[in-house]
Amino acid sequence: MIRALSTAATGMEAQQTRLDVTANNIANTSTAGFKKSRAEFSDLMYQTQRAPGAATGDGTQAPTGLQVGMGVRTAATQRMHSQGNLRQTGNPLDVAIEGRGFYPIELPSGEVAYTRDGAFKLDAEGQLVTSEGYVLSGDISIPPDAQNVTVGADGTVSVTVPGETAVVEAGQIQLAGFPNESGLETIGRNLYRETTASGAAVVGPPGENGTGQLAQGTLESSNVNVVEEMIDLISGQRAYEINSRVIKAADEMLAQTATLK
Amino acid sequence: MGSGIYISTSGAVAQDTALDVTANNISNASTAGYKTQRVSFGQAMANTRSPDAAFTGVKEMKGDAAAGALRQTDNPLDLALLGDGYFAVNTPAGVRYTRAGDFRLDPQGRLINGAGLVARGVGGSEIRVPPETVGLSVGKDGQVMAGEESIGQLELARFAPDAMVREGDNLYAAVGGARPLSGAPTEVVSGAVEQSNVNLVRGMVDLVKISRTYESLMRMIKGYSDIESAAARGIGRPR
Repeated sequence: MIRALSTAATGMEAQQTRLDVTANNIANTSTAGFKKSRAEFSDLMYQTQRAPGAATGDGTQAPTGLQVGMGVRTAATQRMHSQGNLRQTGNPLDVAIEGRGFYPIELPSGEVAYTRDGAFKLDAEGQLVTSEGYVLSGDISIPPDAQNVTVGADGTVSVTVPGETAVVEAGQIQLAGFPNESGLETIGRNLYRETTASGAAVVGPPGENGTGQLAQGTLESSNVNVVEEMIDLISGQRAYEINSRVIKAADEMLAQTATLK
Repeated sequence: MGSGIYISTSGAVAQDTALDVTANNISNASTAGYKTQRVSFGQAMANTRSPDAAFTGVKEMKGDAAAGALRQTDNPLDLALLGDGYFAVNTPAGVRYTRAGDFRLDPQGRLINGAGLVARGVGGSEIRVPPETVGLSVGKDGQVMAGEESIGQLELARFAPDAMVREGDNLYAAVGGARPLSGAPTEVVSGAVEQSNVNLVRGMVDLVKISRTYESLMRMIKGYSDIESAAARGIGRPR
């Protein structure tokens, strides 16, 4: 009973973690390019009271063992990089990635971060920048008098300039692919950082190295499925409740034992 | 003094163990690949043929091999197994087996699980994803593909149900000398995780059953104790 008390407590703790992760997913339902996470659990060690194959005393062997587990622990939280829905915005500088890949972004510190959020803006120098003003890596400069910015599926940015009939090419957007996207580190503001677990970025034009193509005038919504999260919320809450019932049952049983004498 | 009080006590001790096992099942309701443990009771001294020694005890604990529901995740390295069988992983203590197939890559490009254990290729070979790979997939037979190219096959093993002991961290160890069964290999489903097969309704029912049985056993112990106490006080008292 004492063991059941702490076992059920680990169960409650695990469901709490699950709820925290679900809460963050739901909070970011409308964050462009957000990727949902999930908590992963594993069982704790077992106390072996009798090992299978142990001698039973009358010359036979016990075919099964007696093992009592000690509960659960949170093993990891993992991000899921499935594609989010694409939403038409009509804004020429909203560029979504259809498929794998990340935009390389230069941070003010000189470091390179990566994002799936393709809601770009123009800065004073004609560069494409994120909402925070961080510059998209690559040689893209859009002339100040440019009209009709077009981003091709392969990342080519072309503009028309008044007085000229020919289309002027203003650069090409590059995408970074990773061997293991789930290994990227979240640093907030829709940005990810390369880690040893993600592997080194492979930067190239969209559509190469397994990366996806670009879709102008669209934004990638988060890949959070609210219905799924709600179900997680419900089952997490119920599981939490039932774990607390175990504690109650163990407590009542202890109380009955204590009142024997 | 009669042995009834001891028989009731043996029942209470067995129910106590059952509660611990049920608590562990319920706490693992969200653990990928977890299999419910079932407790069965039996007479501890069945050979004595005396009602005085009809002690009860936990006779068996068996894993419920029923498949857990598959949850679609669309992550190519989330692998679930159809049918019985296990993935093999390397641990410092040797080869261990697991049903939890939520793999990811480590910096060296090896497939690791949440606890950081490396998945074994067939025959203990190493599967290494080349650094410049974008796009991994896993086939039904456990072939790991980097783009179009196969870079190895996951080791899958089937065992007799009683040949495994639980070690925690979703791991099972084969009992001394147990060998994997031959025969039809298990099918791998990529992009899904096998959820725990714990049924919370059944867990709740078990909980009620255990606490009620325990309660009646406690009453019996109390009853025996009252009888003994009445005997001690009443018998031999001159009228």
